Amino acid sequence: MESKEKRRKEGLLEKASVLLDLPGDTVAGLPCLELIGDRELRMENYRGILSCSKEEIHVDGGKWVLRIQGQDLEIRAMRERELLITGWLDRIELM
Amino acid sequence: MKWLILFLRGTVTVVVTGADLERFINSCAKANLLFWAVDWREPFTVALTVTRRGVQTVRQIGTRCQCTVVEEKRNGLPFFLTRFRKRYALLVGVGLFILSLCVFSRFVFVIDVEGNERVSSAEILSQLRQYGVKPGVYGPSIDRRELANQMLLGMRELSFFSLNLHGTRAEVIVRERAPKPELVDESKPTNVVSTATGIITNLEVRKGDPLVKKGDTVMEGEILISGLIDIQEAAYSNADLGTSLVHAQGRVDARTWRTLKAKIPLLAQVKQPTGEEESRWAVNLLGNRVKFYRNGGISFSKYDKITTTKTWVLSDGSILPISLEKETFRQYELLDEELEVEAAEVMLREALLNNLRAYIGEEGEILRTDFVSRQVDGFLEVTLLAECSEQIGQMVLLEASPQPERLESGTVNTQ
Repeated sequence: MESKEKRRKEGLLEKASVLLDLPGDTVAGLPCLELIGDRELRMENYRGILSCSKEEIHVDGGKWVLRIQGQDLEIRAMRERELLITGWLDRIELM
Repeated sequence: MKWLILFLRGTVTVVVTGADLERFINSCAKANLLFWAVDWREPFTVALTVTRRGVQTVRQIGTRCQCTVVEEKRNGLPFFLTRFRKRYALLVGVGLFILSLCVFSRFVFVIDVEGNERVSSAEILSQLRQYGVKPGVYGPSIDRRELANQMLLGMRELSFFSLNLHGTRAEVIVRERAPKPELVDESKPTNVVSTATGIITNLEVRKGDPLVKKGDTVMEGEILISGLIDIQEAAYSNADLGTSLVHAQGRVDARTWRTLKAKIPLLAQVKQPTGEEESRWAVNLLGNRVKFYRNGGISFSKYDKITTTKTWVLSDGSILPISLEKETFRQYELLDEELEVEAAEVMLREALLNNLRAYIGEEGEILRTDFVSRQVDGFLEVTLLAECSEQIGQMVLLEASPQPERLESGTVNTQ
């Protein structure tokens, strides 16, 4: 019961993408993460950077926040919808 | 490849200081600005790299987000070239260089000749020069079809001529005409006469009346095979059928004895350099000689002229149309010096053998040689006595050669 309360509310498009088995990032504009080893993280459909340091980066993913922890973290490239973070990645957490 | 593109476009590292740097970075991303290498140096300072054209946008975003934007480092070709913006002489020089490159690339500097074997390249180049094609000529002005016609008419040895322009290099491709075989006019009556005195060892008559046989001794100029044939009458006939003139042909081999002499003075004048010399310099540019000296005589009465030409060759083997010429005039005196007899004798012997080989031809064979040398009146005289085997028959037109005695008498009888 408690876990249901904690679960965030899904949007209409998000539900539709689940029901129709369609890719959520394309239909509902959900963030898409691609992790290459522990050195490179690509992210699409993000909203913005909330905070940034060499040890921790917070990225706004819309309904949740992505917390990336590691060492020598660097925003290697950043476009309106794409983000590339490099460094030694230790932990990725949805908040 | 990426670094090359960035180098060509130019990049700027900017340091941004402000309270809301996250907003600044998000704004940059929203503005679709290309930036990378975000380095969070301090809590309120971040460095990032943008393209040269993106600096203005970064400044605008910085102003909007209440951040200070400072350019830290500039990299790339545009910034390198900007340094020379005020150096007008350099810009003029670069402009002239590009202009000269465009202009001079239209001229022919090098002419390469290919495909010639018997006709020398110098002959072809000389003929081309007569038609105005030489290093320095304006390439597009050459009428290649007309030139090919003129060259084929001017040089009968050529059967094909083509000129191709490759930038400043003119490539001349030629094909030579096959040589005409030597035709023997068999309509003219000839005798075969002896070119040397000797004993006949072999006689092959293809046409004509042989006047000698194997083992005969013949003198130089003697008729060996006659072109005047006495037509044989039938045994029962009294009529005289007369004579017939033919083109006598045949091969006559003989053993010959030749005596050749050569002499050389034992006291020869040799050049002794005095150590005095003068040098003159000149530059040969596109066939035009530019002298770096006045037209004056050489003060030496006796001198050797030594010309040294320095040319420059490109990596592909073609020679640049510029050369440096040095003429050195080296004074000498003539001194009388005695020759070394042994060395002189060896030299004369070699010369005599060469002469003998020229006499007997390629087919001839030297069977035996004897050399006799002696010193007479300050000269070293070497005599070569040689026994050879050679072909001595030579065709001579009948009018020019002496008439054989036997046939002459026969002719008298018929009259």
